[in-house]
Amino acid sequence: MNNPFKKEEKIKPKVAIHSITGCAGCQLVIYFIKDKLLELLGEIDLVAAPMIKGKNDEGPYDLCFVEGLVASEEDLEHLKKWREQSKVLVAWGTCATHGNVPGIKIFMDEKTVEAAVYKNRTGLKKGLKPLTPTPIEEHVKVDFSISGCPPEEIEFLRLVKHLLLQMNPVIYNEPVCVECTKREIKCLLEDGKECLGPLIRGGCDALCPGVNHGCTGCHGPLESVNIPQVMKLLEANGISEKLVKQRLQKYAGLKFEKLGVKLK
Amino acid sequence: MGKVLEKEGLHNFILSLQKHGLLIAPVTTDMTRFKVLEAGDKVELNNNPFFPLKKYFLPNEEPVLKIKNGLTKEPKLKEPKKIIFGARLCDINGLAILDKLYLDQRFVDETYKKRRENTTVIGLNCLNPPSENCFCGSMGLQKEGYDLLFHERELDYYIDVLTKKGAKLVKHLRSEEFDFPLPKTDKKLDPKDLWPFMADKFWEKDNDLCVSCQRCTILCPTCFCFDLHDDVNPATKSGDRLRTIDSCHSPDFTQVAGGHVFRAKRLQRYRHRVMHKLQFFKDKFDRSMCTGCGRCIDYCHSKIDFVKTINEDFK
Amino acid sequence: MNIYNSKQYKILDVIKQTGDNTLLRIKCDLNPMPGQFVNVSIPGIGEAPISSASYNDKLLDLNVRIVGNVTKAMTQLKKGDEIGLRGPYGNGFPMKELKGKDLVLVGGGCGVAPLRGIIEYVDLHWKDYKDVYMFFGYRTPGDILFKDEISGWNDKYKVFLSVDQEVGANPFNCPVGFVTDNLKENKVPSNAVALMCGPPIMMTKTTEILKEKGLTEKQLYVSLERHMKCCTGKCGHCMVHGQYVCLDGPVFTYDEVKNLDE
Repeated sequence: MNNPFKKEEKIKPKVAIHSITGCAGCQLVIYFIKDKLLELLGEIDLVAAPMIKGKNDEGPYDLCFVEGLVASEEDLEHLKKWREQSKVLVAWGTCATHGNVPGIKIFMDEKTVEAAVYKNRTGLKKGLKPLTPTPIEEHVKVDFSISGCPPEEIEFLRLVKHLLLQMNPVIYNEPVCVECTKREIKCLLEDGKECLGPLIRGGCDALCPGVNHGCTGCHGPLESVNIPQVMKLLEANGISEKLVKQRLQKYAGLKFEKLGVKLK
Repeated sequence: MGKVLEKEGLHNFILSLQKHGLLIAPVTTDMTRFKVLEAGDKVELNNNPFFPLKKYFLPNEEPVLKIKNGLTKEPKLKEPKKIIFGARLCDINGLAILDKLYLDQRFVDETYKKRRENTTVIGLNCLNPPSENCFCGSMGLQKEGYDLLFHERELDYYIDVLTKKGAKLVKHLRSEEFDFPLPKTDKKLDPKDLWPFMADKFWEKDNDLCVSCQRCTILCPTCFCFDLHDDVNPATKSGDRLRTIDSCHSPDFTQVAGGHVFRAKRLQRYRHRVMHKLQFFKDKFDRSMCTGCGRCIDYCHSKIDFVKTINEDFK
Repeated sequence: MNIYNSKQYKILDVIKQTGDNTLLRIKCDLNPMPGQFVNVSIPGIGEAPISSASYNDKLLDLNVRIVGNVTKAMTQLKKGDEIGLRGPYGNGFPMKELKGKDLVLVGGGCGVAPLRGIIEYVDLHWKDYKDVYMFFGYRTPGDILFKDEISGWNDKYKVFLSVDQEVGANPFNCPVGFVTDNLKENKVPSNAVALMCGPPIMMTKTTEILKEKGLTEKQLYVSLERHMKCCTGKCGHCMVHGQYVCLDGPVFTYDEVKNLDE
């Protein structure tokens, strides 16, 4: 019987999981997938994953996940190299897609921030040349962006599956409220609390509202959101504009600025 | 012809339903939800549940087909017998409306049909509207879609019996003839032809308040637009073709392969939802698709009151 | 019978038509009317609605242009493979109502494919119709669909081809210009009916010209493109102004769909 899936002899796609400045939590999500990851490993060739492998190949890669953001010359060098070496480059996690917490530095005086973390700059790695922390798409072309702090394992699996099936990957693109409502969680915003749900890309199955904690926005905003109205709703719940702006700055300040919010 | 149950017999009657199938009823914790009744649960008789009845007939996500070795197969239908107690007429009429689509003679959805057949729906008539946003009194609800409907009177419950399936459960009770009244609401939607009000200016005010969260469609007793998509394991080529509840409020809803989005503006999407509920469906089926449950106002983040807008501003 | 399930059919031939159009010839007895469509299933990838490009009770031709995942997967199929289909769906062009009329077919690019179903229908029912005029426009001569059939059409019908740009060989000596230029310069009877499929801008311009030639909006039929998922009037994706494009369409009179502000 012929069927559309009849497999031709082919070489497994070469996959890399690389990291620049960040906390490594996004990579861990992938390694914690365990059984399903092992299943996938039969279909891919994980040629570089420095966190878990001793021997790691340089490119070319068919698919390269990059977590973290550009915060130093060294980061930028690595990123540019991986971009050149990769057919498909994925920004994996909110540092990579939106700048995340390190990106707050953009909105503050850089020296003040550095002084607060590295007293007398003694903790700074020798020879490190810091750059303004920015998401990777500010520097190289990104094929797919999957946000999240950390992103969800299902988003990794779905993307790899779709690419293996030679599909144009579908990336979840609905607000947190959708999954929250489907799970029949009592609305925190309605309850007078702080929740950024309507602004933020879901895919997390409303993890935080599910444990009675308002969405803090770790996935960053959707493209088509009604920001002024959500700001009004939050203010009506007694959350000051200043605090709301701090929240928006936390994970995706640059993106919110691009969507018209003045954060500086 | 109906039946009568003394008030003090209600509790035992509800519990006795468990021997006929999986018993589902509204239960209140942090809010009221339909759930499978477990020991210790108290049946809520006053509030209308957050999520409507439709979830037992059209769940938010389920496989419509199995995929095996690159071929689709029909999944085996295992539909347990269910008894749902305490649904309101708005949700029940919602089922009658969904029947028009899902039991459409040309294309009958077999899973939905089986669930309708295997589920006994016992309604509870509203003496007072459970929410100030209820406007079912103006939506022409019918005495249809349920097997039994309980109407509370001073001393007892009058039980309206619509089907044989329902009659079996109450055959031991005393018979009576009584014409029970449909729920009344203070809030009313003026019956209006909405076609003359398609221009953007009629929708702008409400649209400015809409945050596209999709709660109104997910919580609507008659909204079940869906997406079909495949989820397979690339190694085994096996998995599911899934049906997932979708919403006309999502910009992706009208996107075609190639990228074009037909309703790219939020206003177009907002207008489409309201027009579908109140006008488009009526043009085809001679009744509104809205049953006036008020959830889309109750649970709207911005409390957009389209009933008020239509009554006051559409002229 | 599960209405979402499809049946498997054998692919008899895969014919590369142009750079980005492929014709799948399928052994199939679904026999859609011209303008109707089938939903193609590629398990694991998904489904896509594709208009019939034929009128035949033993064969079904589907012209595929790669626009998404399913169409991409379809073009990778080979002769002898099987393909899942369900349908036919939609109203199709009202061929029976149009008996005794002159037919004006206006197509742009792959929009010509559904119109070929009409040509095959008229081939079999030629006594029922008067003249058939074809105004087909393509980007370049290389993009012309159904090249082998054009001389046959020329013998029986009035064929007017045009290309936006003259790139490479031009074996049919197509004038450079839009479909609408050809339409302007040629006579069509004012009691004819026009059947159109193509990009929205083409349909709008065509309508203007045909109205100048005395055709009313009720004499103009258009085939609409929408996102169709279930094809059975349930999923809601294709609904526009209360009409399900999958059930009530995809063919509408221009009168019904003009000024469609979504």
